[in-house]
Amino acid sequence: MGAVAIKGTPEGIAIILRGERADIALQELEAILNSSVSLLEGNRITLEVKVPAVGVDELAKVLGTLKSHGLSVEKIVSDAESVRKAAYALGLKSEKSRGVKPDFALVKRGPVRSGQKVSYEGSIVIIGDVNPGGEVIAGGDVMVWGSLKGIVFAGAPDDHSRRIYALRLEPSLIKIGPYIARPPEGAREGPLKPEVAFVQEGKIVVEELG
Amino acid sequence: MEPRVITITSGKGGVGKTTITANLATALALAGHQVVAVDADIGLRNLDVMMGLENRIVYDLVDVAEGRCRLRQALIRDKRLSNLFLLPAAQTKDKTAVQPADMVKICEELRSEFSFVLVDSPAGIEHGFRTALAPADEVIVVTTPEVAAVRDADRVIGLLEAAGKESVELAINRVKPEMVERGDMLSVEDVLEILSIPLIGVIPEDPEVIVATNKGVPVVLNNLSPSGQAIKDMARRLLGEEVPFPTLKGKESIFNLLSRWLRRK
Repeated sequence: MGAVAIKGTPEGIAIILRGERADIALQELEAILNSSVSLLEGNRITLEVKVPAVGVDELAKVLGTLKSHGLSVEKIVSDAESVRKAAYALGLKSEKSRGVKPDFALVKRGPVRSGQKVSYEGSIVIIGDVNPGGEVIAGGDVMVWGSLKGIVFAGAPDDHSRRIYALRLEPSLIKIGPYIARPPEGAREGPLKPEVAFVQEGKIVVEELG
Repeated sequence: MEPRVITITSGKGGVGKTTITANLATALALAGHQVVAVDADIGLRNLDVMMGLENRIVYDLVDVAEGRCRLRQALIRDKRLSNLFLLPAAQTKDKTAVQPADMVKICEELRSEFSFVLVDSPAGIEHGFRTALAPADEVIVVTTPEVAAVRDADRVIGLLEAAGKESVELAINRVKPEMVERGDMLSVEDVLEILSIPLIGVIPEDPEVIVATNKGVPVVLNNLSPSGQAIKDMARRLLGEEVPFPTLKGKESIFNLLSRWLRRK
């Protein structure tokens, strides 16, 4: 169990196939369709494929199963290029997943003081400073309109594509997805410019903005 | 004027809460107000020593909270100023002996007789801190220009904001202008930048304080002491006067501007 998930989205119904094996996902899908197909009828359906190694044959079987229950798929969502190619071969629209995290941001007025923690599953915007000892933990990006001197975690827990922006980026510890970095010892000279931190080739790098 | 309960706190120990409480109470009394200083640091009482009243203690705060005496019996009149009183802490109990609700009740009673009730909080953010904070209308957070003290002050300010205390002001103690000038000490501006709350006082480092503390004569009674003057200025600001912050060592004081700007917000 658990190889198939069905979710309502603002655009209709998403059927998600996951796990390691396509045949297991297919079996489970059939079982679900046999018991609860009427709930899905008449909806726009997106098929999200997270099972690796799904080719044209496997995808055709899944679509055939859905069709035999009167359901037609509007588009395929997958991060695997092989799946998107298979979708193209079968004449279906396909796109990359946009991730499960909401594209909403939490906006908080600073300062985030020592001992305080701001966490949110989406992105976080802090208007003000993050003081030493303060923590910001975001599922998405982090933007600080002020000095960032505390601990910051973007892309929690494992999304390394996220970024951290700050007018003054001097965190005590920085985490992006699975990567951790600590700034060099000693005070930085001069007025700092706005900077962005991101992961490049398995390392967190910092660049001036603009 | 409405009676005001002001708690003096810091987070970190040893930054001068008790010295500032004793002197601020004395300065407000010198200005003619009815003032009582309450020592909430139960188990480690010091305020009585700094005010030179240690050998007059018969009853204390815990006796009042536990109903062994009336509030009036525990109040000690200052030996110099007839409008200044002390409510001492117990030395034998610990901080859990008085509950926040007891403190609120005691301060409510004090409000009927005094125009200023100054509560000296213990260090830390535990039970004793919460007890000292419970009755406060206003809070003065004391820090020194040191990274660890500023970090703790920041933590305390966060807790005060979370507790819904709206009037929270900052006193920076033991500033050494020549060290700031050499870049060896955080400046007032540096501290304000991190803590971003209104400034109520900047007190310079002053050896006179040690002498005064040991003698039990608050330094504000010494007209020549720079720290005494700074605390008198602080009292005047509490009373609503606009008193500029003296520029330390002739430097243009950005914190005057910054502090005015923060007050406006």
